[in-house]
Amino acid sequence: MNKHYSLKKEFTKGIIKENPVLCLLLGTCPTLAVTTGAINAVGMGAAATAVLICSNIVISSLRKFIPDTVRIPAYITIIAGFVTIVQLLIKAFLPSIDEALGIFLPLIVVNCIILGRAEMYASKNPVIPSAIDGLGMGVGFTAALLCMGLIRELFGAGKVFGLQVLPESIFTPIAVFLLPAGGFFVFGMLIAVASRIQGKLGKKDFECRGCPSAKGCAAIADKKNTGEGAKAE
Amino acid sequence: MKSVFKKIIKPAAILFIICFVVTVLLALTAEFTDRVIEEKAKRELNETRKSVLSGAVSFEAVDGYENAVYGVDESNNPAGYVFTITVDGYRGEMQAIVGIGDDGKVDGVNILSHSETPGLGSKATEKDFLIQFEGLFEKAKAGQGVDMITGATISSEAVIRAVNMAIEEYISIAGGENE
Repeated sequence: MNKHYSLKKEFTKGIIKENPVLCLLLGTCPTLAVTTGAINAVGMGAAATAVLICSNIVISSLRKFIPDTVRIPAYITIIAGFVTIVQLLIKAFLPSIDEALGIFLPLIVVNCIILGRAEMYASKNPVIPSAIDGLGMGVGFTAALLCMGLIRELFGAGKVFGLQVLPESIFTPIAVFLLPAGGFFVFGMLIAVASRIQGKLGKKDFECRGCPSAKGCAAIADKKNTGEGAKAE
Repeated sequence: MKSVFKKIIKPAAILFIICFVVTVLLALTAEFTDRVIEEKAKRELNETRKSVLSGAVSFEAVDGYENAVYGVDESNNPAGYVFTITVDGYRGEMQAIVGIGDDGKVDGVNILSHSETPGLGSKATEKDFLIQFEGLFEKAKAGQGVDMITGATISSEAVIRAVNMAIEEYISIAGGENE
């Protein structure tokens, strides 16, 4: 399989066309939880990107070495290892970020984006494209989080990155934006916007191909058997 | 035999190797960061102690008093003592740090941690309230020379108790000149 890799394409796809949060709908839990402020959103995005790149590199370099039967435990061990290392380093050097992210920093281990990209991409592609894929997806994740964070912080508290931009005298903050319900509103709106942009760029239909469980999925096997033809790999 | 090896032993061995390597890396990182965090905590504690005892540059432990440290200035002259006192506040424990100079007067008070009501009880942990204790020679009494915070009586009293406990300990170490 000598695919020709356009590194630029592998990077940019993570930002708009295949944005992990707004198009692939992965990692929604931390997206809703840590976007109450722009600074937390960036912190989470940066930490997840670091883990994503490292785990993609390692998993890609070991892809011929890890047997198929133990690939999930192997990936999870590697991902959990990186997340813990990132967490220890943040605790030591940036304790305020550690406090702000709280439980969501260790929860990066189960962030579907990381395991998803490992399964969908890193396990099937060489190291450098995998690293770039990780970088692109990470930047896309951070960008989506940043958008959510800025909107929610601005409307929910009149602040941007902690600075009071809209003083209480001209604008009464709409508190619901900082609550889970508000998070869902903003999230839905952003998905709609992303969909629209995708449509203009030529929409891709992901179907089964985009799902991390595609490899072992019973439903896909059925489709193949009944000759309906599958869009899955 | 070959298929047993391939199906069971090889994957298990590989998984073992991966787990082993990850664990070693984690252990190394944890050691390194533990040391960084410890040094930082020590430095911060030293800075806080210096902030409540003017002139002090280094501290030594005091025999028999685990809450107290003895401070000296650059010429190794005595600067006084710093006491770490824990009291019950309104909503939980409060940790105060009190510096008592060589002259027996309170040099500075700071609150290390507390869980008082933000905006009310927390005012008793702020500079405006704590500055009243500076220069104290005898134990403080609520209302006499120390203004309480309105609506935060219990928090204010807790701080007063902490300062008095420090004064008591100072008397016990330095020997009864303050009574």
